[in-house]
Amino acid sequence: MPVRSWIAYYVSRTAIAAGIGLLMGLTGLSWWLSVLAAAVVMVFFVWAPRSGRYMIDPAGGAAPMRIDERSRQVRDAAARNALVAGALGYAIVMVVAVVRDEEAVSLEVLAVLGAVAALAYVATDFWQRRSG
Amino acid sequence: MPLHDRLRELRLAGGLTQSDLADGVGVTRQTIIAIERGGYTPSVLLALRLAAALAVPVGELFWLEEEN
Repeated sequence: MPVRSWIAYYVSRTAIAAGIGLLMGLTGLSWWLSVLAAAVVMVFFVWAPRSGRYMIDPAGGAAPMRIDERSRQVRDAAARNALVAGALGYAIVMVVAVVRDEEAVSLEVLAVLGAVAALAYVATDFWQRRSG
Repeated sequence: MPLHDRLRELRLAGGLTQSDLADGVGVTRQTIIAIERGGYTPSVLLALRLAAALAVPVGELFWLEEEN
């Protein structure tokens, strides 16, 4: 890819990372956490083109990152497994709540279900890419 | 029925790196690595693109093992 396209990529990604940091700051997050969030986003943008997972298309403008057919397949499998894990977890929580005659489920339990689904996504993504 | 390929052999014969080939056919380097390892079966479209990039007929690049 031409150097000018890379410069455009990094300038636009820096602007997006700074924007996210600014947005975080405006929501009341401490300044150092906002800077940290912006730095994490920027690290992702620097890593992405070198990772072999994403292709950078300069013609893409504000959204230059592309995935290919294999990444799409991995993403679909990871999303499906995350959905199944989350739904199964939810079903188990509902059955336990009925058996224990509880009228409400705490938000913490739902947060754990979200974490289980996220874990299923990451594990599937990791496993499929490793076995490929 | 396992799919066999000569992707690595023909890529090296053409003096191409995995990144060169990936850029040429519009996929990521990881996908080329996965195909060469036999861990990913490409779509018909990608198989045709790879064959065109390596200037060989697709049947010379990919073939199915005959079932006994």
